[in-house]
Amino acid sequence: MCQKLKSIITKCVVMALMGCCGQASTWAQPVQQSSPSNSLNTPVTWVDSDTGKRVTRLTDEPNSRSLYFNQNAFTPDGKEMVYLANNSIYVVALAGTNPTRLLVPGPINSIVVGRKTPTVYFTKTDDNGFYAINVNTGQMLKLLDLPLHARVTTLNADETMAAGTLIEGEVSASVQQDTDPVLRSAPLTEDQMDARFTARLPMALYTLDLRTATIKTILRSTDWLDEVMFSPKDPTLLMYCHQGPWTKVDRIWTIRTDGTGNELVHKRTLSREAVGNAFWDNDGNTIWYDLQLPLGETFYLASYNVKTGQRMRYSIARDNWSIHYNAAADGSVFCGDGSDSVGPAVALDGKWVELFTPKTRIEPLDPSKQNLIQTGSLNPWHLVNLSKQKYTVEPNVRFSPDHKQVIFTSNMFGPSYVYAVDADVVATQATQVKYSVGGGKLPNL
Amino acid sequence: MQYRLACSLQVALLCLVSAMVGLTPVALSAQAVTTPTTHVGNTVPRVSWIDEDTGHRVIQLTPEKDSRGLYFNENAFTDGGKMMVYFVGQSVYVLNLESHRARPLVPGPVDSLAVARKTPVVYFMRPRDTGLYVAKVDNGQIVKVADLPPRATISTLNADETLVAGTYTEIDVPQHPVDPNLKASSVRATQMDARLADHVPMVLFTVNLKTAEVKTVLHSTDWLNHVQFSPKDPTLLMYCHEGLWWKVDRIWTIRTDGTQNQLIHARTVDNEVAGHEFWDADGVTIWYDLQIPHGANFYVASYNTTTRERRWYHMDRDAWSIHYNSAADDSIFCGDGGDRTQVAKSKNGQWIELFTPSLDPPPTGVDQTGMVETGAFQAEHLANMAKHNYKIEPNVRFSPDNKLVIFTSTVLGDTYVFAVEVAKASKQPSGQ
Repeated sequence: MCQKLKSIITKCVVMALMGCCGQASTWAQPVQQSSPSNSLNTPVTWVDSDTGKRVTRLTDEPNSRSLYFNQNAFTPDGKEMVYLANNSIYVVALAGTNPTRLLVPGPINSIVVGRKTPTVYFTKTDDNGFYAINVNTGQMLKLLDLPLHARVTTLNADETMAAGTLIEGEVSASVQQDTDPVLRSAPLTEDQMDARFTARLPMALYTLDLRTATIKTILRSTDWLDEVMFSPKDPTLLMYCHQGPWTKVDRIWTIRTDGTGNELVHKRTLSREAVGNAFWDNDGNTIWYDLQLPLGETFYLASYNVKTGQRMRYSIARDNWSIHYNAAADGSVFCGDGSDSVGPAVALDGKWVELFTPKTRIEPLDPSKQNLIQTGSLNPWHLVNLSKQKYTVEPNVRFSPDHKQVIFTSNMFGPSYVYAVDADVVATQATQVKYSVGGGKLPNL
Repeated sequence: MQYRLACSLQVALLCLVSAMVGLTPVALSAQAVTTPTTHVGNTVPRVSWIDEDTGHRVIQLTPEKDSRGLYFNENAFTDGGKMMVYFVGQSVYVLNLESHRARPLVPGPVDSLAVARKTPVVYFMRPRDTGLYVAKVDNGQIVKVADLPPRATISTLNADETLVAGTYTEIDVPQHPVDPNLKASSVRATQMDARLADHVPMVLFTVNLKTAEVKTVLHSTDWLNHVQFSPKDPTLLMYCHEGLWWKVDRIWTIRTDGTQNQLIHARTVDNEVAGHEFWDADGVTIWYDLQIPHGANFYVASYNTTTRERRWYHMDRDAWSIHYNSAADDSIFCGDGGDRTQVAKSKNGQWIELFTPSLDPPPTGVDQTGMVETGAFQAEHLANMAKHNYKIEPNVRFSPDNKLVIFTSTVLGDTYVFAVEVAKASKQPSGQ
């Protein structure tokens, strides 16, 4: 049933686009194999002596890196991971010792991996064409030419629609390049961020109907629209952000694909309150984000359920604050990529890949507290020592589809590669139960 | 600059401590101590020392055993800041901050009082007595001012010293049996919970000190407590909804005519707590302990009742204090720390603290209307409280000249009121 649906949709997409766009389909070259010769100085696998966890290198290409932390990186069967190297798209199987594969030679300037079909969508820098390639067969199709400065950054749950942002009017290529979270390997400097923020370039948030190749603007704004992410479950629900310095923007928003329901997810109330690095929970309704009250003082992983309106805040200790977090698909554990002493947390011992187990109050929720934000804390478990990491390259942590590993990019050996560390989620959870103190006791006044 | 010799209080204290050398406690000059007539034999020679850990001089202010300062948010100073009012047992005493003489003012039992800032008088009530009395600090003369409703207690006097405010319950508060198996802290929590749940009808009232007229400001079945007049605005009252902090939206203001009843801090997080509120000397700003959630992240927060501006100063766990107070110009704050059984569960929190606030630079180029200003408290230890029994609340406050932090402590065994100098002690005290 699932496979059948998958193939039907793939066919629909391909057929519709061929018909609508009237362009000759461009089939890709046979899948190439990359040479692993450049990665000899980097171990294939080792056991981290500080954590006892096994780390395995997944990629072979120097300066290879995973996708941005909040983008899907896995094929629907959970067997392969899509990543970037040399501005090109690569694929590697997560299990075994299969060689990496070059899927699309670059330069490309945006990438989306389907959650339903084994398709990678991307735009080419050369012609701004929007392409789809089947990861298994290598069949590639140009879907359409995108408008100038348009980027496609997300695909909806049933793979009928893509979405992205574009800058209207004339924009230098450097602005486009600088502000593309997919392409930039290092975060923007504060000055770059502020300059782009204050430019207030006219932008559009648009959807692209993959069946008809129709582009529809659903929001126009001079806010810097960025990080558009479809709900992984609800095909008409989008999250996007007002990009900029975190203390200057009410950042996280949701909107329906018909342009209705444009809603701020978190309204800041402190002058230097910071909200950012949002991502969808696998349930498709919950949005998680980094919350600091204020910036650099207290740290939370916060959530908002768009359906129920319920909010949650997990406290995180300063040293465990992470540039990015992700949630396991079942929501039971979280991962984080730590930070160096330069980050907002000014962590003294923060350079770790972390696994977090949530600790919440065990007593049932008092009905009179329905409207209050629920609280808990995240217990850290070090997975990988990143003391040699230069955080100019973001680790972009994410769980493997089976939750058994945490995948991250690291330059601890010089050039960056993508690694996986065994996360032992089950074992950790068992330990956590033992140590959980809950919150049922009345604290002393 | 550390010692301003022109300051009369400092001169007096220097005279008193002139015999002191080194770090060991030594007796203060005996002639400065007035032995209270009702407590013969219960006084000790007062001592002073330089705290080895902080370098600040600590001075024992009160000689009577079982002496203690007023609750931290009550005004303790009268006669324009020359005299400090305190309790010895249930009796009211006064200490002359210039001459350092201590003497009894009102023989106990006294169960509620309000100290006038300007006029040297103390308004007070006795248990099971509806009379409101005033005691003159100069001569100890006591006059009945008014008869108040049954069960009334008072806590505050307004800025122009025309009104006293307090609360009364309209019925007796139900008594609930105590489970003998519970720990003391649990007993307290259980009792507070039961008192909150009883929704005993209460009245927040003012009494006119000239006409003895009692006026209802607010009628409520919330548990009203900690009524505090603005020190500058004679018609502005702050009060609280008492109860376990995570179950109440606690801090409110109201006008004496019953209008503008207004919540100061609406909680948004489960287990968020706001409490131990006190007025800034400016008479418009309210400061309070804010924890989001309880026991996890600690702030001293403020709300300006005129401009509605808010400010949150964040602090580290170890700096959290049961009570805070601010110096008159808000340039410094003090705190009395806490032990590891208290909400912060601090492992190194038993200190009298001096806090220097710093504000974060607000983001530029964006509208900040309505945003809470943020900053942080830098803590400096003033006095080591390792030997203090935190079951006795230190109730820190600044002296009227902001040069001393005054607190109650058991560091010497019995309970006395102490002061610690805000400025570091010089190695060779001036005037020697």
